[in-house]
Amino acid sequence: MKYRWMVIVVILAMSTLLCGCWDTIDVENLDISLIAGYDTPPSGEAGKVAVTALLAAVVEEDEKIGTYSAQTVGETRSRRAYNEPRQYTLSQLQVMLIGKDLARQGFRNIIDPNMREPRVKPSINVAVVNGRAEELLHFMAKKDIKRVSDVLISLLQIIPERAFVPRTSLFCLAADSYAPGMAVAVPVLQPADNQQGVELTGCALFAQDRMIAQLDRMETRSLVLLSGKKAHGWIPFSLYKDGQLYDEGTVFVANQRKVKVSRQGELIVFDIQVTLKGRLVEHAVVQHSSTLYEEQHLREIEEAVADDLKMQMQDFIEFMQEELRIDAIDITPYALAKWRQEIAPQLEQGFIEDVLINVDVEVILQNTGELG
Amino acid sequence: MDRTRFEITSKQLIFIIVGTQVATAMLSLPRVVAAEAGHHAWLAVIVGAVFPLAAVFLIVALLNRFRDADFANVSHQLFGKFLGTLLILIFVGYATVVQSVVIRMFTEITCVFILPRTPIWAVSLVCTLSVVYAVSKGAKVIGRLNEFLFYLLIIDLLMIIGAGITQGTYLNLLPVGDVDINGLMQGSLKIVYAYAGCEVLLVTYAMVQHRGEILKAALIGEGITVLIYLMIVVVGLMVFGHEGLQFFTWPVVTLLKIPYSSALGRLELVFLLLWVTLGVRPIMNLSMSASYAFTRAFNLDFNRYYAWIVLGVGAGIYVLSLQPDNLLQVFALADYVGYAFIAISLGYPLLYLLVSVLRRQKSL
Repeated sequence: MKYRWMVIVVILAMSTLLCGCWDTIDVENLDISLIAGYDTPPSGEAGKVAVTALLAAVVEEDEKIGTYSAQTVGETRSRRAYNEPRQYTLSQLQVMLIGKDLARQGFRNIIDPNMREPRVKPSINVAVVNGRAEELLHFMAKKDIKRVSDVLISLLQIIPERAFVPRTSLFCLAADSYAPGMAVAVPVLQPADNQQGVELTGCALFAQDRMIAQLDRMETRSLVLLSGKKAHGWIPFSLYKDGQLYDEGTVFVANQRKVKVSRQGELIVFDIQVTLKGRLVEHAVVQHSSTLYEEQHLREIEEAVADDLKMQMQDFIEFMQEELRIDAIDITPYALAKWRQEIAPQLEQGFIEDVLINVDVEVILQNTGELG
Repeated sequence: MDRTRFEITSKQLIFIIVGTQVATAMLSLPRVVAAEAGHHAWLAVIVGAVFPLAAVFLIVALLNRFRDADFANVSHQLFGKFLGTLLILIFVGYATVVQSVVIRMFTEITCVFILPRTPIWAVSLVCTLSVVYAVSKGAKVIGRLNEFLFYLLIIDLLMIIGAGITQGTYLNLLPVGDVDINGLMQGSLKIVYAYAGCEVLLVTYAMVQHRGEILKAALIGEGITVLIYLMIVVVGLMVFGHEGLQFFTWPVVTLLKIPYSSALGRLELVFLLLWVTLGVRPIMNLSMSASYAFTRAFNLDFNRYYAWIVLGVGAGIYVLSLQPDNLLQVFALADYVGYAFIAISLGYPLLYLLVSVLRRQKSL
């Protein structure tokens, strides 16, 4: 009996120490940041970084946008603490936007506080804004303030399901961009041409901690296909016979990549095999009656798509080797896997420009749907 | 003394050995080993396993020589009352220090990822009280708890493997050749801390019902530990690469934050919620061993004194766990614990065996 009482006393003592007591906070007292935008400070304002936070609608009906400029990200949080009545939390942060100017200057000062903070998920998606992140958020809020976070979160999360644009997480950006000799691709957003919403224009390449190039949609597609990042998307095609257009249309395909690396003497040779599998979405026979049910015609479409893409990819490889001089298509690890001790020291001095990269494209289409 | 409270099956011995070894150290293991052994860190896990395996063989070889294999009894028989008791007290002191490091690391991780505003002393106290309560129930309860918690560990491991397969690449493990022997050896030494725990066999040996099964059970336990560590280090290398691992204090937790999980939202919190129960296993097991050895060293009445001794050991662990000023000091202490583990787990059985052979005390 005495022992039982002792156990009860211990349990009661433990319950007073329940650790949640220190960490409990009402959700009404939280400013829950869903999207964080990082820019250089607006002209006239001091500091090195401006942080714009899109806050979830918890008590209010609408999401809220607020910007603070300071020398460091931590200092903007401090400024926020003096101004805002609620506690700022990053545990639900879903998207990180980086303004183009800041991206060019370098993002080391925004990666560190976010990777260091245990409440920030490294899986959050990152995008570069072609302009200022703050302005993009205000532009979207003007159109429909209730859906700003929904639109951005979904757009960046599922974009590879619909287009050949990479999805880049904070972790990828932090890890890959610091890998010697490697670049990481980050999608680029801007207000849509029709001013009705936002659009993805392609991607930006980051090496070390700064943006080194901006790619359009076609270049981005080549990069995605060459780097083997999983994506799906629509690709248009045109078939010519004797210099005359004889069919055109669209295919919807998913990509795969295989890389083989070998040596020809001192020269390192990469053979990249890109395979696209998918279906014919549409075609219009211009000068010919429909012969689609014939296997031969489908093979012609496959070849046309493959040839087009191969040419674009070869152009991109040339651009990458001659102008970027950095591996943007993630093939260096294959060479490291074979000759790590020999190649690792070369990566800082330049490696990718001295290798031979061959690419081959295979397209496999199925004729699905109700039409022949 | 109610002997049945301190009887365990050989199956429970497997889980006790795994439970004592696999806890807080596994969360930082890939970083610690890769810092020395590079992309051959997985090889260092295997080489490092030589220490605990040798310890198991030596302990079993030693205790097999005695009919009453109780650690206190063996110590007294070989070294006499005074020296034997002193050796037991050194073991108890070692176990207490190891537990304090484990509990502090457990507390730090809990505070960083789950309870950032809760003071270290509060988390440590709640943890110690739970341990004291469980240990006061005896070895049988501890054995059953270890068995139950082992199955939770499997869930955590599956999460780690899943994250590794989806986020990592085997290229980071290659090439297999070109081994840096010096780095490999350094890495093997660094991992020794993670293998600390098999020395509980010194005390638990006498508790196992069937002596003939002890060696097999201990080796299975060690094998499971090596397999778990191997898996964790391979996954860590696949996801981060050996250089990337150095950026993260607890890469195993970080790697669970990398995959996008629409259903669970934050995979690492699910992992940590299970891990909170797993993290206390070594403290329970070592605490039980220390308390049992202390009680037997002075031949005290278990029914009267055991619970109080458990409380005393718990108080010692708690006070010691609050001594390091920061996490870096805890990691530095963990390195020393690794060396102490070698001294205790290999030094004790070697010394005992030597004395036993010299005195020809083969009491069969």
